[in-house]
Amino acid sequence: MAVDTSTNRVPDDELVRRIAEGHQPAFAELFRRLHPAVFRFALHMAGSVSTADDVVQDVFLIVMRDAGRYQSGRAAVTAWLCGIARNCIRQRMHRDRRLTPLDPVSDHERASDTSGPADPLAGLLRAERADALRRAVQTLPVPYREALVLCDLQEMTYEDAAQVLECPIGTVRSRLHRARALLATKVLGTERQGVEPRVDLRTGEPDQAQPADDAERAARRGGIDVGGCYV
Amino acid sequence: MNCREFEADIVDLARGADLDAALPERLGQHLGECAMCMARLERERHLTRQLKELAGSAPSSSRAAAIEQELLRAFAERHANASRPVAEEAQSFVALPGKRRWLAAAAVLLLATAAWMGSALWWPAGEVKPDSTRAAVNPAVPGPAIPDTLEGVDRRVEAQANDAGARNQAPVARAAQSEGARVERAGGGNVLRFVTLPTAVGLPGLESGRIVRVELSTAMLPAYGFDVNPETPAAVVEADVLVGQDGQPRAIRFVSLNAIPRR
Repeated sequence: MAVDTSTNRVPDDELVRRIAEGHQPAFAELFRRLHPAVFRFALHMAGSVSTADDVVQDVFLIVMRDAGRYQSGRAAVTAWLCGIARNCIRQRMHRDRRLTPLDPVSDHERASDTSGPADPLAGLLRAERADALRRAVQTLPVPYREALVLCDLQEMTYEDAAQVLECPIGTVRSRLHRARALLATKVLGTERQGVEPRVDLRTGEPDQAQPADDAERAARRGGIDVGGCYV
Repeated sequence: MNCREFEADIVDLARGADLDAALPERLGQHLGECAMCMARLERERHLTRQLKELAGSAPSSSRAAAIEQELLRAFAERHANASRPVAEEAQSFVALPGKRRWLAAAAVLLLATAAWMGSALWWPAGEVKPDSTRAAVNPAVPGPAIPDTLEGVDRRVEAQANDAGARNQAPVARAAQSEGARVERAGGGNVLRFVTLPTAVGLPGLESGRIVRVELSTAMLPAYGFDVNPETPAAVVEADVLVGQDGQPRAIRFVSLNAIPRR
C-alpha cells in the first residue's frame, strides 16, 4: 500500500483523533507505527505467535470503535494500546487457561533471531540464552510478567506502565524488582550451576526448607514452587 | 548509604533509568566500599543486557500485512454510509441536545409502531402466527406461500422480530436488528436485517465482534433455528453471521434472498 505522506509526521494522538473522525489513512499509519509494539507485548505475554496476531487484530478493531474515547493527556497512545492488549490477553488467558499454546515461538523463528554475528556459534548461543530467558519470562506470575515486559522489554516508562497496569508507579517498581529477582535466580542460577534452583515465588528467595531429594528433583526438572505446586 | 538503601535503587541503576542528580555519586561511593553490592550490580546489568537481547530478538508478525488489509476493509465498511455501529449510535443519541433527543425518540417510536403494524398486516386474519422464535418456513404452518427461495424466510423473520414478542429479546438481538435495519441490499430496495439466532439467547451482551460472510446449505438452516420446506431442493444461501467477542454466533443476515442451486 502506498504511504500517505499527509500522516507520516503526525503525532500518535492526532492520528487517534483523526481515526475517530473516520480518517482511514490515519488508521493505516497508526497500525504501521504501533502494531509491532502491540505484537511484541502480546507475544511476550502469551508466548504464541498466532495469539499475538489475534490480539493485534482485536486491539485495532477496538481502536476503530473506541478512538473517540482516547484521552490524549492521560497516557501515551502506545500505553493505551498495550492496556487494551492486556485486557484482550487476560480474557484469552481466562478462557484458554487449560490450553497449551499450539505454536510457541518456533525453531524456525528462533533460528532467524541469530542473524548478524560473524561467528555462527555465538549466534546460536545467544539464541539459546534468549530462548531460556523467553521461557523463564513465560513462567513468571502474570503481574510480574506484565511489569517486566512493559518496562524492560518494551522500555516503557514507569508512568506509562502504571497507566497500562492501572496501578500506582510504586507498585510497578516493586513488581519489576520482584520479577527481575525471580528471573535472575532462574536464568543466572542456571548459567552458574547448570541446574535451575527451586524458588519460592511468594518471597522470591531460594527455598531452603525443602528436603534435599525434593530439591534435587525440582532442580532436575527446572521447576518452580508456587505454593507447593510445580509449574 | 548502606546496602539496604542501595537495594532500592540498584535496578534503576542497572537499567540506566533516570536517577536523581545526587544519587549516582552516593551510589558510586557505596559501591567503592561494598564488594557484595558491586557484584549484585554486575548481575543486574548482565540481566539487563540479556533482556535487551531478548527484546531485540523477538520475531515480527508474518501476518501483519494481511491483518492490515483486513482491518482497513473493516474500517471502510464501518464508515460507509448507513452502517454506523450500535455503540456509536448509542453515543450519538446521548450526545444530542435535549429537544433533538426527544425528537429522535419520537421518530424511533413511530418507526417501531409502523413496523409492528406492518407485522400485523403481514399475517392475514385467521392465520396462526408462529409461537416460537423459530422462523417458520414449513408449509405445514399456515402462512404466506413460500417458494423454494429464502425470500419468505427473511421477510417473515423480520416481521417476527418486529412483533411485540420480540421486545423481550436479549440486547444482542436488538443491537443486531438495529444495525441490520440500516443496511440496504445493494441494487435493490429491500432492507435486510440481522436476525437473532436461537442459540444466542442467554449469551453475554455483544461488546465487540465481526461479521463473517458464509455460504450455508439450506439443509443446515434448521440447525440455526429456521424451518425449511422439505421439498426445497438442496441449495446454498449466502449469509452474514455476526460473531461476538467470544467467538459465538449471535445473529444472521441473509445476503442472497434467492437460494443458489448447489453446484
